[in-house]
Amino acid sequence: MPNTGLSGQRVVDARILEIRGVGQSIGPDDVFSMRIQADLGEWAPGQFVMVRPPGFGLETPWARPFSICDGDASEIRLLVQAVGRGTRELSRLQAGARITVWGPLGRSFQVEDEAVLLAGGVGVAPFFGYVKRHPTPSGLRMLFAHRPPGERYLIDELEGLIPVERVEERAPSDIPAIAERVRRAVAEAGVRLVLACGPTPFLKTVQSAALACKARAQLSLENRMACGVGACLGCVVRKVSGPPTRTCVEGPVFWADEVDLEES
Amino acid sequence: MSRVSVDFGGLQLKNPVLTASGTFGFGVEFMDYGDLRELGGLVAKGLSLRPREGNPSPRICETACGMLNAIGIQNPGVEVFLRDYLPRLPWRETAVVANLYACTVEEFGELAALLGAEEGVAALEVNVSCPNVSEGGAAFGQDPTMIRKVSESVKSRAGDKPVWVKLSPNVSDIAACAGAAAEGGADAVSLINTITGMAVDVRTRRPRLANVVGGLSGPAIKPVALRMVHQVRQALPDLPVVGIGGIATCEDVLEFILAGASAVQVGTVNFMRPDASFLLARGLEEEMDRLGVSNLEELRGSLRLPAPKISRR
Ligand SMILES: Cc1cc2nc3c(=O)[nH]c(=O)nc-3n(C[C@H](O)[C@H](O)[C@H](O)COP(=O)(O)OP(=O)(O)OC[C@H]3O[C@@H](n4cnc5c(N)ncnc54)[C@H](O)[C@@H]3O)c2cc1C
Ligand SMILES: Cc1cc2nc3c(=O)[nH]c(=O)nc-3n(C[C@H](O)[C@H](O)[C@H](O)COP(=O)(O)O)c2cc1C
Ligand code: FES
Repeated sequence: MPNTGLSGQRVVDARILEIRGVGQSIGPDDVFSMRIQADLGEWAPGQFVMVRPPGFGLETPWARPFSICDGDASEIRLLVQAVGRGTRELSRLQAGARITVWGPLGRSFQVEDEAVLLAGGVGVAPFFGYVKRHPTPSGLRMLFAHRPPGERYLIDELEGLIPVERVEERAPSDIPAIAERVRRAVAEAGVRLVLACGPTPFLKTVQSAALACKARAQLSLENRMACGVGACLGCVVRKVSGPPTRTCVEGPVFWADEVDLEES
Repeated sequence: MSRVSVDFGGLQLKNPVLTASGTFGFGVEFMDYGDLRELGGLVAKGLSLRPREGNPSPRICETACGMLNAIGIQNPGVEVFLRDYLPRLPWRETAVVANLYACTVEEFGELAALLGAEEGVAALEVNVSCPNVSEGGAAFGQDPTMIRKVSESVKSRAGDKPVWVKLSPNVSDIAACAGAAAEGGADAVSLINTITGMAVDVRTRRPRLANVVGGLSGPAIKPVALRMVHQVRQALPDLPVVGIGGIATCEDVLEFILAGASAVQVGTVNFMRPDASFLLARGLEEEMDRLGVSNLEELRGSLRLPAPKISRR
């Protein structure tokens, strides 16, 4: 029997409960958190939602993908960095505003007793839920690479739960040293699971290190998405074997040795 | 017949709202967002005889009121569609239209034979956008002679299935292309496919698509699509037209029908929210009430044009 679903059940006309930035106005590159009242049902850390602000008329057809940071069945929180038109539009919304949300989408991070979390900037978002829901958080530690100030990523919330080592990118000239620290973290992970989320260059560093020392690593990819539901084939990533695969359905979390990031 | 049902080219649909090929996957991707049986029909992702891997990434780019895509017809091949996807679709209750992609007349014929024999396939839509390498590289869809040959080949092997030929807007005389399809036996023409375009990232000085150029779609192209539907309708009043291009609201649906379309397809707007097509199918009657339209048959082609003496350009 075909599953015909319940009409429109998974597109949620949701309401913003709270939006909080670092300062009074949210400037370029600033980070804000947003609590959204949305009953998305069960979700797991690493999954994401598509979000469309009400200010997007026909001129901006696509929604934007964001990791579910944390929350429960009736409410989710997102951690968003204002980088462009859509994220800035979101930053201007206020509590009570309506917003279109669908999800949870994609595949989540693997959960194991011990894991090393590698976060680059706002890529820290899915790890809030991962840490908070983890059965044995004492087995987790994190390396967090970011531009200062780290506080805007709400990192103190995580620092109260697991050991977090911070490395700051104050200038582009810091990047080689950060990459070196990331490679070392992968090498030191040994048999432990490595989970990485962050900008694509950061993921490429993790991937090459993981392949070099045969670490077991999962990467959460940031590919451009139009539909988020597996229909447009715009978000694909090359696999080591087989046809290109959809980041929104078969990802965004992939094993480091199954994907080829050259086109990303 | 309900007030929204339509009947054209040998096919009856419960309403005129279909989804456009390549924007709705194989339909199964949307089952969590709506009841496929609410749609007039769905046109599946383009199918080729053998699997295709498609183009390199980036393949898509958002643009003002639309998007560019160069997916390259990535698909698992016709056999996988018939085996793994078609059986999961409610094809007895909603029309499932197969979209055919090939690069030779013979391949189109083979595809038509395979798909035409399937009970679950309601109609065949032919995508003529492949560059015709053996004839100098221009797309099939830019040459009326080739459009006629492809239409003949598909129609002759499609059994009793209606054949729709989906025309490219990248031509100077759309009516000539529609005429060629009709000559070749097409039961309807679908228009339009995407308009070739390009976007550049000034910071990296690179094209935003790995393929350099891609197809523009979305509300940005609606006026072009409407103009082409109108021109084909004027030139060939008996040839049914399926209107496609930027449809986002129920009013847009009625606009295409006024210009002469028998049915419409919703494409890029499915990405704005995955229940968009369901909302359009569901909201159509209400919109007709609001505008005082009693039925679609009455509306179709009832465009009030200025007196013929005035030049219409
Ligand atoms: C699975 C997934 C999870 C994500 N989680 C988060 C998160 O938790 N917090 C967060 O701040 N950001 C996250 N991102 C990145 C976020 O989607 C982009 O920053 C955002 O789409 C930028 O939109 P814009 O309109 O502000 O930027 P613009 O540059 O104006 O956007 C133009 C187009 O490019 C796309 N785009 C631009 N940058 C990215 C990017 N880095 N990744 C994907 N698409 C991009 C946009 O969606 C849009 O379609 C995630 C991306 C993915 C794929
Ligand atoms: C991502 C994407 C993929 C598409 N793939 C196909 C395809 O496989 N076959 C086809 O005939 N048309 C394809 N099209 C064209 C659409 O079916 C439609 O003709 C076009 O997008 C215009 O409609 P719209 O403005 O409503 O999107 C595709 C369009 C998009 C945006
Ligand atoms: S975003 Fe459309 S298939 Fe992944």
